Amino acid sequence: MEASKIDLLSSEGLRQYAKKIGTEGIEIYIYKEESLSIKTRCEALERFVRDYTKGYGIRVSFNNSFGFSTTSIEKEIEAQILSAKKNAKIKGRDEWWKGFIKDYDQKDKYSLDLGIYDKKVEELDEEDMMEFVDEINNGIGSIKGVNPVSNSIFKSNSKIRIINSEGIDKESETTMIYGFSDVIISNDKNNSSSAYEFDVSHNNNIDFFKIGENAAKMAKESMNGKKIDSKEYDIILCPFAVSDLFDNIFVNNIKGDEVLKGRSHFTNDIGSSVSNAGLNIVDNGLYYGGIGSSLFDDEGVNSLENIIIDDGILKGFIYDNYTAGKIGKKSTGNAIRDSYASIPRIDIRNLIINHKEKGNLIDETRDGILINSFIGAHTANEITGDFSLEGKNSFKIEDGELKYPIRSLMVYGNFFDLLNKTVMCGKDQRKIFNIITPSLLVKDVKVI
Amino acid sequence: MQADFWDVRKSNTEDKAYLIENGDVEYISTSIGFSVVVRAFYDGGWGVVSSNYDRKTEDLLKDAIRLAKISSKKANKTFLKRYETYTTPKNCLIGKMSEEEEEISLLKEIERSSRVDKRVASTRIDYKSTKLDMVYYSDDLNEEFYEMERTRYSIVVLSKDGNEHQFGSERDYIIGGSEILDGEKPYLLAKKAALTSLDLLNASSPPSGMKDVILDQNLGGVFIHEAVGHATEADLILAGNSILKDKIGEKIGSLLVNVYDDPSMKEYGHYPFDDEGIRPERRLLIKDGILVGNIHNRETASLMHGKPGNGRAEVGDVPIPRMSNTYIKNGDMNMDELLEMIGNGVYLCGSRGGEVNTGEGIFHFNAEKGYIIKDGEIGNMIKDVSLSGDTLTILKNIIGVGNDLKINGGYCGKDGQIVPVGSGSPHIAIKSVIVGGE
Repeated sequence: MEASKIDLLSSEGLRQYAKKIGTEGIEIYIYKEESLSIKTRCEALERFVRDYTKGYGIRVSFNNSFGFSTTSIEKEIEAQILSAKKNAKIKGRDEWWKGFIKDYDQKDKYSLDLGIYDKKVEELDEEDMMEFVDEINNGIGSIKGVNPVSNSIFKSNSKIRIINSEGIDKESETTMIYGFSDVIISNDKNNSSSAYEFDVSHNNNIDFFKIGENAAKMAKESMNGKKIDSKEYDIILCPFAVSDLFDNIFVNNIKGDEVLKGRSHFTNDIGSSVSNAGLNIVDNGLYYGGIGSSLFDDEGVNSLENIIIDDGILKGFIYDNYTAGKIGKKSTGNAIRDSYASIPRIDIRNLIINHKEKGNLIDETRDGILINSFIGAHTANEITGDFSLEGKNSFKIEDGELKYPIRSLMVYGNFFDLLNKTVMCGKDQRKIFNIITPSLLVKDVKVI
Repeated sequence: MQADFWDVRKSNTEDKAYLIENGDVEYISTSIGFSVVVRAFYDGGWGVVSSNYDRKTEDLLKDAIRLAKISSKKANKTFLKRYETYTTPKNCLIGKMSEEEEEISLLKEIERSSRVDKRVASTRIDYKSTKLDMVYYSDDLNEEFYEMERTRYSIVVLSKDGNEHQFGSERDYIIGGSEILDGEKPYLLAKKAALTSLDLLNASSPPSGMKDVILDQNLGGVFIHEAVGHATEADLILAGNSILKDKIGEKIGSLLVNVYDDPSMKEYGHYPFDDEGIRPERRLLIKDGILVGNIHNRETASLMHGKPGNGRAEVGDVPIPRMSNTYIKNGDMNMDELLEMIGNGVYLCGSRGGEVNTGEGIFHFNAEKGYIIKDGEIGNMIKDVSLSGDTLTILKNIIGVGNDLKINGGYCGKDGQIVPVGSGSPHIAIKSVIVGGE
């Protein structure tokens, strides 16, 4: 096969090559990233890691079907296009496959600044990263008795380009910086308490001292936990805990393909009340500075803001191009690739959780528990919503005050019941990667 | 520019993956990839440079040495011991190779054996095969090679009855290729997954609170890997993040507990040499309840005077201390004797995953299913049952170890890196465990 005269990394080239090999279309997703990370063991530096990643995700439309292949080696692109064609043939006819998105569907070109690229992040060097580590260590050091287990900082600069034979050729560049600290405090009685904190941003605006300080405070305050009685309590789920539950249960239930396959709790619920009337949830691919934000999704579809739950009423689900086509809808811009080597699948962009009633949740609680995060949230039953999870860094609340840390507790419940019992949110909204949420106050939850 | 030590790891990979839902092929994916990881150690600091496309190894090494030198400015000044590596004939662990068409049609047939009842609502089969071609050399210039193929699939069956939905799942993992689909086994597993999901539709919620329990081999293996194995990893110990810190020689569990990690065993976590070129051997971690060993890579072995051989990495990443095939050694009781010993309690089977805090020694696992044990007999099935507690307390509360060790393949995540492992156990009886339920 001679493709030497055809530029495979252009829309026109792909159109010509698709015709030449008798296929209906070709799409190439190109990912390029350069990253630098630094990690400590306790306080001391352990290593720097620099990484160069490049790769091509290829889909070929053939015989009313599609095949997928990937490579990290540029000179193998042509061979992998042929391999994807073969995969399409083996898969066999798929009546729902309608090919790739077309240029004319995507006329309204966005030119928004989404706050996802910052040259300052790109320019950070090894010395800057070492200073950030010092700041984390200083933050931890500001709380007596707490020690770092490990700190890490990661920064990257990545470029995505999506080209298809239907005229799409889009490019986007982002930077990212991430800081993490894991700390522990132990006393001579062999009691210990640990905690972690992180922050992530597209911009060079992370407060590293705060990461260390927050983690250390949390560990120290959780020390010498007591047991509590097993019964129903009002619980305050902090943003980490909210994100643990939504990420592992809710998200699966709003994915268009899961809904169509009958594997969503919400399958027949559009237009019905599915939560407390104050709850509002949107998924927004254009959220300023959002970790999941970009002008287009991983198939090249322009990003949108999609309402999921509006005042407790279920309004919509999220789709990629293929699944939306099955029900005659348009993609909601929710095609996500985990890496260049993963086939696009449906996932959230930035899920934003809110409640109409806002207040100081601790003040509102007479006999309750504050739970910072959960251990093992991925073990929840994502369809039925049933879970029993160990709480981490939890505290007893009495008469509007944090009283003491709890050594060990298990929360037993059903996620969908929790949605109905969520009566209020805090004013502490934060970004847990692509879930943006305040703390939530949930009534009458069984705690063991 | 000189370094105290440097090494290079190059790998070529070939993957194929199928997803079959409700008997239809959702996708077929094939990949080829490359990766190189160059490490340098200088005066206590590491510099690592990796790439998944062609860049000159010499340039990467120069940069790695530079990063190691910067790193050493704020590193603990440590010394890296030299360990012997060997020039080996190439190890070849490649299995049977069938055409994609043939594998797909077998998988479709296998899927049909899960259609045992009208309430089976949907099925999903994930099949994946990975070939890895590995070359390792360090500054002593001995080159080592191996070629290895791993193949696995999982079958998930969802059954529905009114508003009730339940999952059943089964999986198989082998070192090898298409032979994973040979024989009756896959058909039986597909059927078993379906039966589990159907039985769970009528299962009741578990009793909660302190119970005496029996764990099956699968959940026992997950417990020993997650709760105990991770806490023996030397990097966690050095970071002060393990309850087993400074406990070598101490009694940490019941006399009945013996635990090994064995990379030389041809189970799913096997490797001919680790990702630092070290040829591995079986390691005793717990002997008669006494902690006797840790899991080391070159660096932690140097620091703690241990033996390396467990430095493992995901392709393209940095080797850290990881388990291989970790298991509890057989005891001498059979299942009937264990049931009689427990009398009244809960029998927990399979794992839906778990999580552990190694620093505090707290863990939480969800079983796939469970059964009530009444008067020494296995009774009604229960669902959504979880197990949590204190690792050290549980180890001490093991009162019976079965004689039916089974090792299962799986994947383990740590520091964002996922590696294949085996974990196993015979049936074990434990007293006073917190079981979660209604």
